[in-house]
Amino acid sequence: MLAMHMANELLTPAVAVALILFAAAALALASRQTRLRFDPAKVPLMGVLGAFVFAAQMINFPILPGTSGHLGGGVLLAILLGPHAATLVMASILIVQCLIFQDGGLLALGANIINLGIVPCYLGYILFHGIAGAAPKAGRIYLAVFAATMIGMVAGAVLVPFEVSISGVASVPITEFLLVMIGLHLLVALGEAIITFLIVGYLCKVRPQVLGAVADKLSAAGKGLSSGAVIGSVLVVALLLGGVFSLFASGSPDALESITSLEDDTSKVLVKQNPDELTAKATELQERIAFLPDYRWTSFSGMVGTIVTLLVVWGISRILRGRNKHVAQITD
Amino acid sequence: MHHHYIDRFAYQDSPIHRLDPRAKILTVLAYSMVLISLHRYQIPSPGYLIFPFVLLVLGNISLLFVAKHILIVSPFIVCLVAFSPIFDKTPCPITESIVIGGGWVTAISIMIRFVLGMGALVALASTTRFPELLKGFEKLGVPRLLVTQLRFLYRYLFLLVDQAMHLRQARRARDAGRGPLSSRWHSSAGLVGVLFLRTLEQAEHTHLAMMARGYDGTIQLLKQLRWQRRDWILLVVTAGYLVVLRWGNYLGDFFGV
Amino acid sequence: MSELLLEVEGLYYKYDDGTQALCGVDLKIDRGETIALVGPNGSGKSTLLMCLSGLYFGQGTVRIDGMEMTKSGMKEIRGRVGLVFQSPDDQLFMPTLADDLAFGPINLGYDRAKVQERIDDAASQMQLSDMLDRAPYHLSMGQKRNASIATVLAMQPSLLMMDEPSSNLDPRSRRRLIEVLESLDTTMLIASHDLALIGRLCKRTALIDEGQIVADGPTADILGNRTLMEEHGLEVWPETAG
Repeated sequence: MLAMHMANELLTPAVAVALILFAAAALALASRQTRLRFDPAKVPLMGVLGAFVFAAQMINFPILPGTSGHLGGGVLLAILLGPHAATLVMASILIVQCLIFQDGGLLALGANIINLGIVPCYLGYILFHGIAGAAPKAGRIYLAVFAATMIGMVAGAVLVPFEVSISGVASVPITEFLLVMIGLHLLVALGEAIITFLIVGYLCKVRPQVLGAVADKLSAAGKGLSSGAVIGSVLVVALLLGGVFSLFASGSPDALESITSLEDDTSKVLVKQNPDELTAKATELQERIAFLPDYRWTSFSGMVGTIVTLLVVWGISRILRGRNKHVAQITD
Repeated sequence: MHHHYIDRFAYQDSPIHRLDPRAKILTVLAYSMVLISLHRYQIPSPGYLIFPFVLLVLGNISLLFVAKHILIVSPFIVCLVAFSPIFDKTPCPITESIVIGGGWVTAISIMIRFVLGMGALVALASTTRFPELLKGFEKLGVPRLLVTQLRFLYRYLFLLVDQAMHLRQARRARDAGRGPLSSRWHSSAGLVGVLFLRTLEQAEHTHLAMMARGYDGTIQLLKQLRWQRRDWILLVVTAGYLVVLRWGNYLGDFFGV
Repeated sequence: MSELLLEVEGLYYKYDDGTQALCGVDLKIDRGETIALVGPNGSGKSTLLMCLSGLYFGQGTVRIDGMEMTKSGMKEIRGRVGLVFQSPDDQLFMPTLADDLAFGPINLGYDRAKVQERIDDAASQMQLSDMLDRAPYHLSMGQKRNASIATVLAMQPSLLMMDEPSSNLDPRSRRRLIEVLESLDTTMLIASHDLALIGRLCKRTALIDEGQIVADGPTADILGNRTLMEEHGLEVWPETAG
């Protein structure tokens, strides 16, 4: 899944440390709530479940020819195991991703554990149980899973722009960044919601006893997913995406103008101050490299550009990853 | 799996491999901290290359491997940083006559720092076996419970990933990668479900096997870490190096705002 | 004069889902014996091993060295009964082989020197002395199996129990395993379908089906009894048949 791991370099030391402390406190609380200290059986279980999420990500869910998604896992674990255990498992996964795969920096671990672990797990859990109610029918369970995944994941993703902007290292305007993150994660969460529901349904049908107390509640999920529910959720996501787009279009002119005018001023000032050929060349070069020079379109094209770039680079990274997998298998 | 690839380096032997994991963790943390403490209009001086370079080269890690690996984990930051030049036009003089937008400086600075920081992290991960790394973190105060959990994760990672690949192959043998999307999603969900059940089973068996050998909630490892003189040397030298780099007379001063 | 090591009387065990796995098992094992436990799948073999190693507690009594096994008394007994699980992936859960071998002895409360001695002994018995630093996933299947047995041997149990020790082994690893097991002088209870292994190692065989010991006697008599074996869904051992 398109997991956006925060990098060290987007944070300042103060923000990084604050986030690490917060994450550590939340994990301490979660492990107390899971009663790991009193139930030694849970220690191997949490560990093996972490390995499960990695392994589950090897199973592809085809989307378009050549494209596929896979399970993220946070909300599924929160539904099956409760938010505390799920958070601990997600945290261990993020730590391994950082230490073994270098996905996300060491100092950014706090941010990543909050964005991809704590927020989706707790928020997802609360929303799921809030919406599902006591004895839900299949449709209602799907709705609950859908909302929990959607809101849990988007809420986590939304934190990224805030963390970046409080740090103030990368100068990407927060509104645009926010909208891009929301847009992307709406799509990702749609897939995650369907996958999560199908897995829950499978488990209820095949071996409800392993789910313990939640099994009764989820039993209706075993009936499967109606195509109406899928179409409905695709429509909802499309509407939400449309909303994000229109926000972009309507909200941006002010920001846009200020950028444009600033740009004009500075270039004028620069040229006046340094009527040197080199300066002119540098400015020109810069204009050319900024591949969308018409700034009236900055925001809109910025968003489209971001999404396209993200998808392209993501695709490249998937290909590279895939190739490495083969290398490893051969060397094995 | 990608994992074996990096693991292979960790099981080699070199002066860097022999260092105490704590020494490596602390220096990599300090180095990363100094890197992100630089101002966004400040380009790290070439001196910053020394630390990751020395670790990687003495650690006998292929630089090509490192470069490829950094490329794999970079998409998110590249995308973000690519938009910096569009939004930040603050003039930044490079020399007296060359002035470029601040966004460009930030973008370049972040990317350089990212590559350097990743280089250091790859050096840490590929010169230290994961269980040793965990011992180091445990000794540095990371809660034992979390460390133990990570140990189990690592132990069963290969096993479950292998099972997942077998399940995938078995499915492919039956449906040849075709069939309507909805049925393939159902079968994928089924595979993940099977994997989940096997995971629970594995955890239960492991726990029983531990109980059979007297597990009472604590796990002790045999070989403890030994902090030696070379670890002090690494720590002191790195500290001096970072102080000089960061607070000495450096090139990046030009861009001070 | 043989000395009684294990005594099982009227052992019943019921799983949470209601399955009655053991229905009154009686079994006596003398010190120094090597006994095979045979029976079809689902006959209660594994459950019996779980009960004898104090992982499950049913109704009835299990006595080892004259001490009764109870949940609260397991601390005393833990080191006396050792069980090798069928899958080495269950048995080996520590980062390195040395740590895995140390796990039992450390939990028995031994000091460092004694733990080290136990590791070295167990490793040399199972021919693993030069692999102590390896991670479990860097061992071959045969080595993993030997390592699994070594983890239990390191605790020097009075009774060593094994669940299908030769499953998933190629013929050579299996032969080596049999040789190594032959060299051990521990009392052993081996649950297996591998008739050749049983024929080589065990003088006595107990046949379990539907949660009860239905036959118990010299291996050749049991494995060679066509009616008995076929009645319980097993094969006749060709070397004794006829």
